[in-house]
Order: sequence, then C-alpha cells, then structure tokens
Amino acid sequence: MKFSYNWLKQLVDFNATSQALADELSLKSVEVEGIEEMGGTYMDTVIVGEVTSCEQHPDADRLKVCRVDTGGAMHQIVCGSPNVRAGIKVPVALPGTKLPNGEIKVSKLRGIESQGMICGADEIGLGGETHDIMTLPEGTQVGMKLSTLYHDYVLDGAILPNRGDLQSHTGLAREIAAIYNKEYTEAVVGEIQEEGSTHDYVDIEWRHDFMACPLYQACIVTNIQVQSSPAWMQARLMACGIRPINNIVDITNLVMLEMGNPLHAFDYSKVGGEGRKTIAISLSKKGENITTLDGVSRELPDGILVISDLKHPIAIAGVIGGKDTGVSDSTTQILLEAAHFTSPIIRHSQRTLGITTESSVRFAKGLPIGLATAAMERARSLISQICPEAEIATVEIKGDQDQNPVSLRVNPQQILDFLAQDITLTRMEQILLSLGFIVINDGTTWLIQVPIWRNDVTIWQDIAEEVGRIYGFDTVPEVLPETTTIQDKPKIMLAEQAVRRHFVSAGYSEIFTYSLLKPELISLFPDYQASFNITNPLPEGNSIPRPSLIPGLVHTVALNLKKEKVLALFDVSKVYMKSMDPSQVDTEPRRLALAYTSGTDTEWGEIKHSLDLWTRDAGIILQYEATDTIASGHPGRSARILYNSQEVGQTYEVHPSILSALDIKQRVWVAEIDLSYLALFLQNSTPEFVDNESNVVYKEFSRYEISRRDLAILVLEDRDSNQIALSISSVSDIVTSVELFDDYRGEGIEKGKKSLGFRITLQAQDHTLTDAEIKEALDSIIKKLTIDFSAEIR
Amino acid sequence: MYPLPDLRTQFMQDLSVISDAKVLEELEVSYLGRKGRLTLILKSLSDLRLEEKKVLGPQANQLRDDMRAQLEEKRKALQTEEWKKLAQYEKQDINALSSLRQMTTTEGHLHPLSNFILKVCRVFSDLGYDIADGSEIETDFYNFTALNIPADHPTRDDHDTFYVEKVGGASLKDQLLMRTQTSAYQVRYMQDHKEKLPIKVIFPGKTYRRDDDATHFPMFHQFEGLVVDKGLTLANLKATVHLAMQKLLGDDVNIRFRSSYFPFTEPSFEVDVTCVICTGKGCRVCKQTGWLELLGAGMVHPNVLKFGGIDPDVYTGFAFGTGIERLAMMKHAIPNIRYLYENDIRFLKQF
Repeated sequence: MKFSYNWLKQLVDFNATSQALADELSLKSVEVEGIEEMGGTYMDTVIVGEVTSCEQHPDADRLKVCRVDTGGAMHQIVCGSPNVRAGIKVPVALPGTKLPNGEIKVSKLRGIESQGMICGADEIGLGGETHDIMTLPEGTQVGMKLSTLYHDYVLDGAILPNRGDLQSHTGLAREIAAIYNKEYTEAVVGEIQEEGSTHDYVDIEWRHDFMACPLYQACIVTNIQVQSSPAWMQARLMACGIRPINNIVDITNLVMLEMGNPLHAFDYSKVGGEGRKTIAISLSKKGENITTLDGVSRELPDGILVISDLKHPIAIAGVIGGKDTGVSDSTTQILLEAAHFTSPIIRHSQRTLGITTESSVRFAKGLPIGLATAAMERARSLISQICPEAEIATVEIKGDQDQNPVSLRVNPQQILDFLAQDITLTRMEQILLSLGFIVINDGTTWLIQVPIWRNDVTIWQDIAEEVGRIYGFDTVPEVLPETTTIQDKPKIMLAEQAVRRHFVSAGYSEIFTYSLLKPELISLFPDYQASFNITNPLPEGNSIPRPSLIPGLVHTVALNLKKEKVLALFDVSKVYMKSMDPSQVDTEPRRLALAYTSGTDTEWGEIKHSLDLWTRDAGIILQYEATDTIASGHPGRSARILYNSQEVGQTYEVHPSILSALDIKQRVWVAEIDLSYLALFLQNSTPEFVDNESNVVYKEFSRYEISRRDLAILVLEDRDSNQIALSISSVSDIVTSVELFDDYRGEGIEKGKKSLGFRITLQAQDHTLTDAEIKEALDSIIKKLTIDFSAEIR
Repeated sequence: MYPLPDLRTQFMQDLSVISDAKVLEELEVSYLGRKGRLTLILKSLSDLRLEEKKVLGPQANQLRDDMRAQLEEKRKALQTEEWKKLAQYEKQDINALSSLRQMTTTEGHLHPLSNFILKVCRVFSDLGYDIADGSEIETDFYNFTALNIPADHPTRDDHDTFYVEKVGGASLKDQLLMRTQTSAYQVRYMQDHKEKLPIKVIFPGKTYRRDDDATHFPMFHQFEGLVVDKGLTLANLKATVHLAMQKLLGDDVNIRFRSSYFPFTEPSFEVDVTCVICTGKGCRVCKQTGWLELLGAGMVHPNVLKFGGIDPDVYTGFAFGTGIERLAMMKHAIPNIRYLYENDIRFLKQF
C-alpha cells in the first residue's frame, strides 16, 4: 500500500528523511518494501504554462502550433497530442530540461520552431501510460515549478494482516507520532450546511445477512458541478497510484487514502426506480450481469454481495461500482455511500471474481466499523469545501455503528518482565497514550481501554507488543533460557542417519523425491495402492501421497539414464498409509529404497550384496523368500525380505512392462525396506547427529541435450590410447568426455596395429547441438588423429 | 471381385493360431505390408467407378483399422505371455546369489538438504533440544484452528493448502491436509508433554503449499523450535535465535527483530540475519540492506498453550522457525530450488 511522505509530514511534524522513516517503520510498524521518488529533480525545470492559442500546423495534420504563457515569457511549442487546446494549463519542459527520456532542445518540427515540450503525466514521472498531455487544474498558478505541486517520496508499505487500521495515512500518522513522540493531526471536518434529508430520496434495505454489512450510510448531494479536482488533491492521489478522475470521485478516493474506509458515489439519477428509490444490500443470483467501472462486463455467480436498485446490481459491494451508475461529467446528483463490509464476504468476492481493488483490499483486511461514519463526515466536509454550490442532505444511517470499547486489566510489571526491556512505567504509559489507549493507573494494575480502531488488541500480550515495538525490540537483551529436559533423540531419526551414511559410503547417492505422485506413474506399479488423493492438486497432476518410494525412485532412474549408464541411488523418506485405528491420524512409516542399474545382467547380486553389508554392519539378519506375486517385479526375480519371519520389505528386478513404459532400456533392480519397524533392532546407530562439514559451491552444468558418437580407428600398436583420448578432448569445447570402449588386436587387424573404439560425448553449455556442429567436431577430430597419430578411420 | 468379408475371416483365422512374435510380424506384412493383400485392394480402389468407391472405400479402410487394432492386441498378449515365461527362463535364486559380488563402483553422495537437516539436528541437539518431526498429513484442527487460525481467518488464504480426501464424512476439524507448516506439530506435542513440562524441542520436516513457480516448489522443509517453561521472556527468545543462527551460519552473524504478525505468537517477529553473502555490507541478494529476512519467531499465543492443555497463566513459551531449502541454497550457492528435487545425477555428484 502506497503512502505519501509529504502527506505524512503534513499530519505529523517529524524530522526524518523518507529513508530514515522507512527504516524505523520497518522495524516497528509497517515493513516498507520500497521508496520511490515521484517526479525527479528535473521537475524543478518543468513549469506550469497556459496554452493561449492553438493552431493547426500548416504541414502536418497531427501537429498543432501552440503559444504557451509560462508567466513572464511566451513560447512557441509544437505539440502532437490530440487533447491540446487553448485555455488549458499544462506542464511545460523548457529547453535544457533533462527528462527521463532525454534532454529537451529547441528544434524544428516540419519547419516550425518548437521551444520546449508540453508534457504528459508519464513523461514527467507521474504515472499513467496515456499519450495525452496532462491538463492541470484551472486554478493552478502559471510559472510555478511542478516540483512545488508534485514532488514527493512514495513509501510502499506491507500492512500486517491484523492491522487494518493502518491502511490509511491517518492510521500510519498515528504510529509515526508514537514512534517519534509527537502529536498527529486528525482529518478536519468543517461545518456542513445541510439541506434536505436523504431519507426522502432513498430507502435502504437488507436482503441478506446483516453480518456481511452491519452498517450502511447514504447521503444525497444535489446541484453538483462535476469538474477536475484541485492540484493538491490530484498530487495526493497520484502519489498513491490513483488516477485523478473528477472532483467527486477524487474526494471519495482521497478520503479512503486519508482515513482508510472506501466510499462510493452513485449518479443518483441513474439508479433505477421512480420517486423514492431503493438501495438493497443483497446477494447476487447466478446469471445476473454488471458492467463495472473498468468497462468489464461480468456475469455474477450466486452469492456475491452486491448493492442493487429494484432491478439490477449497481455495484459489487466494497469492490467496484457499476459503470451505468458511475459519476460522469453530466452528473448533478449523487448518492454517496459509506458502508462497512466485513472481511470474509469481501475476500469471497475477490477470490470468486478474481478482482482486487484499492477498496476491496482494505475491506478484505478488515476495518474498524466506526470508520465509515467518520469517513462520511470527512467526505461531506470536503464536498462542501470543493463544490460550494452543492446541496448536501442529512445522512441516512442504517445498521449498527456502536462499538463498545474493550478494556483490559493488566499488570504492568508482568509486561515489563515479559519484554525484558529497560522501560520505565512512565514511558510505557506514554507509549500507550500516544497510540490512543486510555490508561487508568490503579497502582499495581492498570485498566487499559483499547481504542475502537484496534480490535486486534485483546490480551495483555498484545499490550506488551505495543509497548515493546514502539520502544524498539533492539533494546531486548539476550539471555539464554535455563530450560532443560531429559533429552530425547529419537532412535528412528538416528537410525535414518546411520542408514544414509552407510549407503553413501557403499557408493549410493541420496535423492529427495516429491512426496506427491502422478496417478499415471503409480498405476504402472500394481502393488502400490494409493491410500489418499489430494482433492485440489496443482495442474501438473501430482495428486497421490506416495504409498511407496519405488515409483519415484524408478522414475528418477529413468531420468538419469539419459546421462549415465551406471546408477546407484537411494531414498530415505516417509510413505503415507491409512491407519487401521480410526482414532489415529494416518500413519507415515519411514522407508529405505535402493535402486541399482549398470546395464549388465547380474545386478540382483549387487543390490543383495549392498543389503548384506548393511545388515552385517547393523547387526541384523534378513531372510529372502522368492515370490512371483509381486506384480511390479520380474516374476522369476522377486523376493520378500523378512526379519524374524515378519515381512519388512521387497526386492526385485523391475518388471519389463514398467521399464518399457518408462523407456528404460536396461535392467533395474530395487529394494524397499520398512525402517520404522526395523529401527528398533538396528545396532549401528550413533548416539549423536553428525553432519558433514561441506563447503561445496555448486557449479552450473549444461542442461542441453547430450550426443554420443563412436569412433573406431586403426593405429600402430605402440600408440598410447590415453594420449589419443586427450587429443580428441582438446579439439573442441563441446567434447565433454572421451571413453575407450574397445582395444582390439589380432584376427582381421593388420599385424603391428590395433583397433581402438572411442565413445565421444558432445554437449554445449548454452544450446542443443545441431548435426552440422557435431559433424564439424568429428571432422576436426579425424583430421587431427590422422595427422598426429597416423590413424586410419575404420 | 472384392471379397472384403472373406479377407476379414481369413485374417482372423490366421491371427488366432499365432503364438510367436516373429510370425505375427510376417502376418502383418502379408496383409498390410507394401504388397500385402489388403494394401493391394486399397490401391486398386482408385480404378473403380465413383459409386463403387463410395461403398468399398470406407469398408476397406475400416478393415485396415480393425486389423491394426487386432495385431496390436495380439502383440500385447504375446508380450504378456513372454513376460510370464520369464519366471522360468530368467529365474534367479536370490539365496544362491553370491553375496560377495562387488558392484561396479560408483561414488556415493549425501543430498545437500539431508546434510543441512542433520546439521540442524546436531546444532540443536548440542543445545539440549529434543528432536521430533510429527505427521505430514495433518488435520485442519492442528494445522490451523489449534494455532489460533479459526475457519475463515485470512491467514488460511495465504497458505494455499493441499487438502486430502478422507473417506467418510469428515468434519472440518478432522479434514485432512498436507501440513503447511511444521508449527502444525506444536499443539500435538504440547498435549503429549503437558504432564512432562518443560518443553524444549525442534521439529524438522516436510511441509507443503499449493504453490509452484520459479521460486517455489510445492514441497519444502522447515524447522520449528518450541520452548515452554515458567517465566520465559523475549530476552530468552532473542538469545536462543541468535545463538542458533551463529551455530548454523557462522559466529559473526547478527540478528534483529522486526515487529510482525503470526496468529500463533504474540508478540510476533520477523527475524533478519546478517547477510551471509556480503557479511552485512550490502549486496544484490540482501537488496543492499545487509540483512536477510530468514525466520519467523514469537512468544507462543496463550490460546495455543490452552489448546495444548497448558495453563498460560503459569507457563510462557516461545517458538521460531524457518525454511531449510533457502539456508542450504545459500550455503552452496544453488540458484534454483528445483535443483534440489530434480535429482539430476550431475547435481547430486557435486555434494
């Protein structure tokens, strides 16, 4: 949420730069995520000018030749904007001005000299993307530097979820005043000359739960002249990222920024009905339609809180108004709305419709209920000030605006002990008073009345937080607690650690796989039944908390076989099972899973060897019982693993149907063992946790496709194959490895010579290699080998 | 002249007697190959008159599609048969395998996340903490309500929760979900230990949020520290977090508390830690502030203690927690969280 530094300074007389203020707020109140300077230093040389005449350029249809008065000097300026016309006040950049897009110079446009530029809001850093020039309010003084009007710093603050009261400049000013120990100024409400009664114009009724909108106030204002708002108001709005529209809309927005409560103005004449009209707070019915102020036609579902006339929704309550009933240049009568919509209903609207607005985010966070009344009074006061001709009726108030202030009895000494900060009771009381709390000091206990805008404060710890943060948590000393327990180092976690260490030293690499699996993957493994489904999976479709580590492990093998032929991987993680005991949350046994593949045919022995080494180390004996009932396993190469005659796992060669589905072209062997049970018997666990002191800095590797080419050559027997391999590597950067796979002499080979087979791996760091690039590299290799080693290509 | 029904009958007959993949291939060639019987018929259709073409064309095409489907089905059946035979042809007796066989050597590597979790366990174990990890599939009650986050609380909107279906009519209280934070274990742990106070424990573990983009992976790890005792103060929390961060990131790191909000602590803090990349001088990673926002912390909210069966008038508590991925990524300069879960061997081998 954006805050204007100038505005805050106007409300509180503090002495801090925007950066110092941001730092202080970030520690104590609102995290300031950024500061932006609005209108850079160049604004000192952009000044207010009045267009006194505007003629068509003789040689260009789109250009106008303007005479511009900047107070004391006249300038001829050529302008291409369609909205330039005589009589308007505009920002003028005179020659020498350095704007973000470049320096302004005297130049000729189609033969006519232009002595400067009339600027658009976007060109001078005031936001917007329009190609129109900026028209300044009529009363703006000619010759004034634009910086006087618009220069500001904008603080982007992240309001905490429980601090709806800080969604306004007044709210933040109150915090700043407390932080710097200063006074802050409340928004001024002047005398309002009331004429007529809103009650005679409109009837307000609820067609929905009162709880969603406990307070609705309306005020009819007639005899309005819609025009642009004054420069100071526009500057405030622009600083906060809101485009000025017209005096009425700008007043509602200004009051929202100032006090926090969003307001809305309807064109009363466009609200449906004759005579006394009806405003209904109701829920939308599916199929109802509203075109909102942003020009979007929206079909509403059931259950969105809307403001309706007798026939149609005219606003999505608290979110955005309808276009048909919006305030336009021809509007003369408005119905001004200041209501309280509660957070849940507005969050529902935001979520369902996918819209967030300045208004909706404020209601969604939650606002103090009485704020709507104060905002209404402030808006009416501003209308009477800015539109003196307007006739303002008495306010029609429906609903409940009473809020009983909460009082807490606290023990101030307990608070001070809890905070451990060096704060005096006097300072503590002073902080609370500056935040709007009323403190009745009864000696050992205090009765503290919480201000109505602070519905987040309900317990003494909340009071402690208020005192602690404003005083500064940097003053909290550091004292380690003396708490000790009879330390519990869970055997299972120590066992997991030992298992990890064992298999790493046995040559296996640990993987971390995602616990949620795709149904397509699990369905390849008939032995594993999903216990649960995620009801709202992400679009990628991983929807099953895994019942086994094997599917994810084999999938990882498949991905890595494209890079390496020999893989030994393990995973130690939980799997997710339904509990037999209905009172239990379901169970999450821990498993060890191993996979081994090398492209040869005898790997079961290898995985069994690994298991045997581990069990010997861990002091347990496992039995293996061959079976053909593991459907995911090769029917002749599957076994159950038993400990004390109880099944604790399985090991098998992955069934060829699974391999073929995952495009794996070599045999893969796996084992999965339940550690939750077995951990009770394992002997080798260390009594402590130990990590590796690792200072590895990760090095990026190429993620582009790898190509492999085999090259067979004939050379003299005494040639060193390592030398040849090195020579191949040196030819090009794209050769990433060279491996000798064949060294043959004898039958079929000329005596005194040998045949060598090299497997060459090629890969680029930044793209996938083309066939041409690979061919070029191979040609260079062949050429080099022919020259350096007198090699013949076979 | 075009006896399509006869050809179909003949094909089905030929197919039914085949029990060998090679013969099946020959059959396919003889009907659908370049000079296959059906292929020749299809070719000759172009010579026919239009009316005949209109009748016979679709029929012949239909027959071709049917043949292909039948062949595919047969191929699968033969494959399945073939796989069944593996039980005999390729049988290996696991108990007869030499257990001394060395595997083709590879070098083993501990996953960097695993090592960092061990480090967390080691550091806190040294500081006298118990270690426990809790369930990843939790109930709505323990993940939210018991942490002072009732139904309709805005915090729930930010958590992007994966919900887990439960068979049978579950109330919201029992609604299962993938826990969104390790804090979900707090109240269970308190309930289990309310007769054995004080509590001083670390929960490392997996957590889940429905969030998948350049900087988020839907599964990630956190650790949460919880201490409950008589008379704990902010000074105890601050000292604990500072010491733990020094042990995890280096003796030189400093911390600062920024006022924040979590429903289950009061007061609540974001804890900034000296940027380890620039040692606090200001760099791109810390956005020139010299600080990294690394932990959430606070004094346990009395409502949470009450849910845990602990009297908040007698006991106070503090809690702190952080994401493990970010710490491990900083330690090893890993640029993308996804690399931790891709399990690319070229990544794993570096650690």
